[in-house]
Amino acid sequence: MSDTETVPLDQTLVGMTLAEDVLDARGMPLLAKGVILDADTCTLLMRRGVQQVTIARKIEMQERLNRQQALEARLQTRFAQVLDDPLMEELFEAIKQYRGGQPIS
Amino acid sequence: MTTLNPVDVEQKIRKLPALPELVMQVIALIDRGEVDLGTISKKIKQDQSLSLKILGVANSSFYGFSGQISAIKDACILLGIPTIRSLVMSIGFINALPGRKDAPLDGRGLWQHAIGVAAGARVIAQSMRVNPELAFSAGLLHDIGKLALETSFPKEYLAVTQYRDQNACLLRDAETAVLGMDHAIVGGMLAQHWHLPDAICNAIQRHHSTDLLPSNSMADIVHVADILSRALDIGDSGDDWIPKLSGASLQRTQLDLAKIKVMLPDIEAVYASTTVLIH
Repeated sequence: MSDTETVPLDQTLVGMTLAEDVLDARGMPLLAKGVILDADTCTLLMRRGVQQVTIARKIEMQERLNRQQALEARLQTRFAQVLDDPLMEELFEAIKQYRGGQPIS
Repeated sequence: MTTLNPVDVEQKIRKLPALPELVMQVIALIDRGEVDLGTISKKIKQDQSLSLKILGVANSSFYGFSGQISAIKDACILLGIPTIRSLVMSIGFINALPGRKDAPLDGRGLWQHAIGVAAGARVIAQSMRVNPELAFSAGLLHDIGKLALETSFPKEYLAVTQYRDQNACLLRDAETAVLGMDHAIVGGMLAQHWHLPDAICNAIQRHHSTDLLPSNSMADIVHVADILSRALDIGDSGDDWIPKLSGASLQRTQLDLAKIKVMLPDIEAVYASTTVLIH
């Protein structure tokens, strides 16, 4: 399995590390390899017409996705009997949003 | 089904261990208004486990002095006497009812859940300008009836957990179906036996039934904190599912989902700073 992966910017997850420099359409450097992406940086890159980036460690990304999916599945189970209640549905969404990417304690 | 007789329950509860003598002495010193830090810290130092846990809380990142507090007297100054009182009392209760090793409920998980509820109750109480230490204690003890039932009626409580698993219901509903009473009622009896303040007794008795009765604020605070602790997946309440949050309690605690979102990191921070109590 490769240590890097090129992914469309709109599928990039905050916290990923750039494995290669990001250049604009004219080949001018925008971001250096090693930068950890955050939401603002992704928005900036989109504005500069960047459509994809190469990020480090595919395994890390897969782990993040797996963790996120496990978290959502766990929350779904915990709330399973009360999601017909609008207040609990709202709480479910709030916890999901708050947890986004964080491991379950 | 083994419906319990309230008189038998009360008799068994009276046999449960009380708070250790040293803990009672520290609380009595504080309650008499004798807040001489030298005397209080000398008392606390007589119990190594108590001292280590208090130092653990004082050195948690929450208070910003990680690893710098090595004297109990400094911990008392940093945390403040009301917090020291509730910590000493909490450690006493956790040691008095740790849960049985072969029990169907996970004692450590239950106390983790209780500390999560205590943390939530403290944060909510602060937002309402209600005594945060009283709320912390009420949160910590809200499920004490589960441990009391499990310790005093082990066979009957095993039947409760089996009923819960077979019927995929909440533990409280299984308790009512099998025993004819739930942990909130038994917890209230134990709290009265321990001569805890009325606000704590009421909160323990009514934290699941705030919609049914005109409620006091502490029961509402503990109810909301209980649901939040479960939603944050802190510890193990003995339920796989989260019960419904009472809209009335939410309203009476002057909270809404927007305010709760802001509180979530604070609750986890208070939990992280006090989880040392069960180490």
